[in-house]
Amino acid sequence: MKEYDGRVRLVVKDMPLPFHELARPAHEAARCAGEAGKFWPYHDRLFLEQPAFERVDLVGYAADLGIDRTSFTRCLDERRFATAVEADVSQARALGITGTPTFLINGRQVVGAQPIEAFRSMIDDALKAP
Amino acid sequence: MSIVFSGVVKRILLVGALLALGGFATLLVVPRGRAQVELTLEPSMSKGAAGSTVTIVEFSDYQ
Repeated sequence: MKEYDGRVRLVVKDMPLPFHELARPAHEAARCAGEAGKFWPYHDRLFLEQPAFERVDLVGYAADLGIDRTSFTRCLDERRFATAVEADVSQARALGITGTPTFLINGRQVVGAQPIEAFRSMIDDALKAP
Repeated sequence: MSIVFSGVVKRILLVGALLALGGFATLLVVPRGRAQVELTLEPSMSKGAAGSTVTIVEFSDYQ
């Protein structure tokens, strides 16, 4: 991202896969962390710790980042962001996306993790496009 | 002289022949272009300037 500073924006969308039982609470937890201004560090922590996403883990990761444990737990328990996560899943479905990760680079769909060179090439193409 | 048909032409001829026999109906739906889907964006879940030339949307699963 630093390489393309000011020219590229990255947007993360939730797509917990149905057979990953612990994924959906993790996605909701990340949004709770976002509400506390800690989305990105929490997002990175989840990828580091996967698949340790039991409730106690999710709360622990938040506490490690200095997020208030009580308010975070309340956010999780009331499933404050369940609708928002489901909205992302619905949008993915509408786009025909069935697997993760899937990227849209200015709308161009790229499925699966790709080498950094492939991303660089596609981004450079998109930057050159009229 | 022989005429070589491509796979597509062969399929068209086959479908035409089947339809000519009668008793067949075409139930296939002509595919439409990819649907326009309006994506919602949560500002806390994005990095980079809003006016960037390139936007990368990543659908991901933490697990």
